[in-house]
Amino acid sequence: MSTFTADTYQNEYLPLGATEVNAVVTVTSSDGAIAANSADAAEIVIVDVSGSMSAPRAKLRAAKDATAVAIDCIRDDVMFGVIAGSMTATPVYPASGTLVAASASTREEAKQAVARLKAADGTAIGTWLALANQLFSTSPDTICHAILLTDGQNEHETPEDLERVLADCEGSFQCDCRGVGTDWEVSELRSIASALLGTVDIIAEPSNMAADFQSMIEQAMGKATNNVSLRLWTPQGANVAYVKQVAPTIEDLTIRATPVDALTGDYPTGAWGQESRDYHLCIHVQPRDAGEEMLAGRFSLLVGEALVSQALIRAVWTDDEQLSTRINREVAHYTGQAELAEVIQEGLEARKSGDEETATYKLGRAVQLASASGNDGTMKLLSSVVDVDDAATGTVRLKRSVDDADEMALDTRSTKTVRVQKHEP
Amino acid sequence: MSTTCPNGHLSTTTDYCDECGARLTDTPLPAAASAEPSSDDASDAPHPTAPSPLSEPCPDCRAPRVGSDKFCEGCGYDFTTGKSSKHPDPSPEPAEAPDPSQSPPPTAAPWEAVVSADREYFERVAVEEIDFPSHCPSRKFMLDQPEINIGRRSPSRGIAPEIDLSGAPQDPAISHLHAILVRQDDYSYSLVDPGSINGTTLNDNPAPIAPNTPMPLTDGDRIHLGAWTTLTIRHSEL
Repeated sequence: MSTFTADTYQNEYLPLGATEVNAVVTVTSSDGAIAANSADAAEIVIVDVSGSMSAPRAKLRAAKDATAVAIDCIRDDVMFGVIAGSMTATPVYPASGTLVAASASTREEAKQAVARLKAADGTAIGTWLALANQLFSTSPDTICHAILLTDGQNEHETPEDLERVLADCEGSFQCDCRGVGTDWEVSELRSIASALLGTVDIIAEPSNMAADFQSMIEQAMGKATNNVSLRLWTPQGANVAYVKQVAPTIEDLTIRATPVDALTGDYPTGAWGQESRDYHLCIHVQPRDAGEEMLAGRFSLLVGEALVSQALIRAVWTDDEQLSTRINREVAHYTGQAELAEVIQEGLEARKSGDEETATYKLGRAVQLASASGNDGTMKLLSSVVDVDDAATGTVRLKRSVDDADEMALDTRSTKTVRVQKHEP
Repeated sequence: MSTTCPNGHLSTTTDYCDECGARLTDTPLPAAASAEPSSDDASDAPHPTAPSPLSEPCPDCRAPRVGSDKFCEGCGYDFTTGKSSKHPDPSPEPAEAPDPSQSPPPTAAPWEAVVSADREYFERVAVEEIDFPSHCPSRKFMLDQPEINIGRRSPSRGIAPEIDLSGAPQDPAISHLHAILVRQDDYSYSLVDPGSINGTTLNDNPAPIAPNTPMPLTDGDRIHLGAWTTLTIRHSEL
């Protein structure tokens, strides 16, 4: 198991009467014997074979190729399977509806089964996830990961059906979602990925698919510690305004809290490899008098039920403005990154609905934020949607014609953040 | 092992109180360069934060504190945070009695709850140091929502129950969110206690109902909560 450390970044000094406490906690896991045991990991590739995958024909071919690459990335002894999804879910390999240990021969058989797939019928993603959940349940005590590859909107089941399946699957496996082509709904796939603690991205160029699958599987197989949750205690009379993962991507965890007791809640974070994630916590407390200190939050990291690390979020009230007006760089940085994701999504929404004025303003602000924080990845994606006149002031012009794929790439990757630069200004 | 914090809580953690977050050790604050020494504050502050015995009277109104109550029964002083009820949160807790002219909605719902001060129940539970109110008009609430919360309004905690019992006179033994009425398929209601501090009893049964377990209600059922409050559920004739 990995070693975890948690560090708090905050300005604990608050002006008199202030009630809002902000802090960024960086959690780093290291030294894990990487997925020590391949037998402790399970991988399922879910590939969309609904009718729309055959138009154009290249789409299904590309998806099959990518699935084959994904299968090749699965290490020996990892339990794996492939599911084909349409109106219902079908176990493609093994057809018996279990998982098998990966080996040269099982990988070959799986690829042959995938090559025979034909596209037909509608799309009911909930049924695919339900089957994956059932297959994973045959391999208890494993780190379970799925890849969902789809091109379509979830048209043949109700949102309630999907929500119920997601609730069943939460905590039992993680799922990265990839959209093929440009006909899918970013927000819909994002909600599935978020519920299952995975990522969402677009694969516009079929030729890029293989590389992406490779990195996803390698990352999933690199997880050493499963079932990590963060536990946040806050004092009597306080309430948690939000708990957000802010790096490497923005994920609002606030609504995923499971209450432990009246003052404590648990937030799931899934499986960890050697990595580092940042969390922004905002807690509202009852103010106290000058010079008084309060513990506004106790941030604990749990593996299963075992405490592995902890960080304290403090509040000290002072009438010294020099202390209380100091801006913490980490908190300011991630507040900016969260706004960046927000203005991109709002800007693209406005652009879609023809409100060019709002779109120009929001995307201009995005350019300004991305440039100031050194988020080059997002900056590059933004420049495919707007022409930048002056990044510092956020002066931009909307491009007349924008490739759908570029716009969706910007939307899906808008939640990707950069870390605060550690050198002193 | 456990430690007692300056606000009188027993804490299992030894660095900060696990109830109110108060600092438990005497070590100076890290990097508190220009923060004022806390000993000066204590002498100036209206509400001393030095360890105080549990039975100490309220520093605001001198009413005796009951057990380890969080709030003063006399004036609502918060023993946990040392906050006076005279300087409440930006949005003060209103103590207004519901206006009878506006509480019944234009279309009458078939179910209603009548809130009254119930001397029989008061004498049965006999909570020490809480007096039966000399004057308490009954209040009527129409049951017209799928879920109706019963409790005392708390803007600071974002609790605004449909049946708000914070009006004067206030029954101090009622939790902010004390009980919930949940509408059933046949439009009658079930009673759920989400885990209130002092519990909820039904009719003449002295045992509190089990938390988080819906109890179906019928016409005439009496819900007892706090020290003297009774809600009578009625099915009104249309």
